[in-house]
Amino acid sequence: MSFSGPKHYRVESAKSLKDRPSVRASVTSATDTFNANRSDAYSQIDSDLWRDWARDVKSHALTNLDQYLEQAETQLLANGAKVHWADTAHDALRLLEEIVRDHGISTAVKAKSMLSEELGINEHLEDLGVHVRETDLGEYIIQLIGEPPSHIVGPAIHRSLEDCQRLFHEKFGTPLDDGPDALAATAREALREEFLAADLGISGGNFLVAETGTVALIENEGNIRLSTSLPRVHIALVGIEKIVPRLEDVSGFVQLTSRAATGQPIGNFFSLIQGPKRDGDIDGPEEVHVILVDNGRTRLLADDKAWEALRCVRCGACLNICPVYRQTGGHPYGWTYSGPIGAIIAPGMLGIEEAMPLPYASSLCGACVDECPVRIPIPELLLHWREKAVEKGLTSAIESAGIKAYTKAAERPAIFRAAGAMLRHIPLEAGGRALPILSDWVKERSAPKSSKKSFMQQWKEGIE
Amino acid sequence: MTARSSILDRVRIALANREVVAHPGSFEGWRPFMHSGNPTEQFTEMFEKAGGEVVSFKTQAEASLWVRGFLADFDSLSVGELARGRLNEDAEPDKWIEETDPSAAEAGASLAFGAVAETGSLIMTPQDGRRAQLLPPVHVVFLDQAKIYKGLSEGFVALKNEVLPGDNESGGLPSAVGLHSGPSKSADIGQVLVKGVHGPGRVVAVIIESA
Repeated sequence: MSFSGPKHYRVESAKSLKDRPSVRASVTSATDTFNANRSDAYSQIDSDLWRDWARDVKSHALTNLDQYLEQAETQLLANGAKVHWADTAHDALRLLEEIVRDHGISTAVKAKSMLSEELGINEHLEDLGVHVRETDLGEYIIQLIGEPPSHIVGPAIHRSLEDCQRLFHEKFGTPLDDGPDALAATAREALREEFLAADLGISGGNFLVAETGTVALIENEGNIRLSTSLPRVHIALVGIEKIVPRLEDVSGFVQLTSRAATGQPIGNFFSLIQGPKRDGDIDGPEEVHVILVDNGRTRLLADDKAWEALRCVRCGACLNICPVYRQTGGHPYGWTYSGPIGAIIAPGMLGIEEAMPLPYASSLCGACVDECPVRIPIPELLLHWREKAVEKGLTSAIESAGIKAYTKAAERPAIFRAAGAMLRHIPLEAGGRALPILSDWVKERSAPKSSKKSFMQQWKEGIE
Repeated sequence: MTARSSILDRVRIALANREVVAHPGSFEGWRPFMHSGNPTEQFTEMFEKAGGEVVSFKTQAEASLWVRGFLADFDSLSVGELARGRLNEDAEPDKWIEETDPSAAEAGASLAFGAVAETGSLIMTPQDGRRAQLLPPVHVVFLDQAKIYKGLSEGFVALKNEVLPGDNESGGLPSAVGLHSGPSKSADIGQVLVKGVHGPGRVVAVIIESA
């Protein structure tokens, strides 16, 4: 199943909260764990200095992106890898199709990659008659259920243990009370056969090192190492913003990203892939293809403010800490990248019209900016996109009229007092239902009672 | 126009008036190391914390003897190409081991290129065989103490400097490097930690103090 776009965000959020309360419980529990682990991992290092460093390396790479992309290409070619460039998702799918046809691919194993979700790789492969299997345990679960990931790092965090028990019971006939160990063993067995049989392995790339032509991949399960080692062809889908200049930079980024994402000093498996199998190697893929994907990234790069969002390392820390994301998980956002980071890259990559109302899916509390390992000014960029939305007339007419009316009233004390007195005497519960905007709000909440006296009156009488 | 040139053109247009940010310098340049102990102690602490096991021996002969004993408990074994010599050293030229393909083996033995103390990572190269490092549920890895590097950057430099079989003549990195910093694990089912999901669920580093 794929996403239908951000425009239904409000309806889908409300639906999730009302109809599937277990999602909120599962997501809250998972993000609490992520937050505690990250906080502990940050406290073990001088995280302010690390993050300043990481911000500057990424900004340096992005402000020299053309040179580093060319350098990475030269190195990859020297390493024996093949390099392709894709302007759009359509281009990427066409390139994939060519490789599949040229090599007579009939089965593929996939390592977790958000870019592959963004491009719609699975659907396309299936259309081509290729059996494609997600191998990250979380991705595997949601592939069996038929839904997209709801979190950048933990794609199935919206699913409870009971959900998984029921799923495995239906698919494999396992007992309904099988614990996580037994369920994982069942998945291991089923997936092991697929690993050994697959013609093609597909991965993303956490970093692409210009100096050495290295695709670097962080994980914990070993499925990425298997997907990139066993099949005869490996395709790495890499967004053009994933560049880092030097291999030495990766020493910092793998540690900081792991700490920000899961609170580990490093992912238990870290792959550095330079190219295909060489003469002295025992095994490994015969061909390695790297597809460099734009698909909206240069559009985001062109924005004088929002380009900084391209520093993102996809750790998910901003999702975990976000009080808005935690209520619903990622699905209502209607796009591959959810949470605060999704809300600021969607307008740049898809266009503000397509991304509405995601810049508004935030209380602007600013918790995200305190956690971001590459210091993306997320709240500032949310406001930046809101300004663009207003400029383009994408906000509701009632909201604009309301704000204009408020501005007028606030400039005239007599009118402001009169309006306040009037509002104090309308019962919010009943009155709210009749009003636009407020009616949505009171639908699922009980409204507070108004004070009998205005703030000014109370102030004069002396507030206790 | 190719996608390559159109992407690079768009990048250049986007960056035309953008201030270039300077590289802040080497990651190891400004940063104190987090551990005051020696690299072997730090490696052991980090690797064990991530769920790995560490045993240490004075000589290769002692280490080989222990590993042979350890492997004797399993019915089917696979041995990485680089580990082969280490297993048989100082042993009778017997046929004590019947090797199977890594996909069918209960346990596998490998030789690490080296290790990184700060992150508790074994550095695995393709000359040993990737399947042997990944497919058996139990993985035993020889590690020479002299090749435990303080940080990742030092490990990378060592990898670049050592020409391994099949490398470009100028050296450089092997075709693929895997850092293994503990057993395979996942918390994707109900946020409960499970070991041995795809890669080895048990990994033992066997340190040889004098190479």
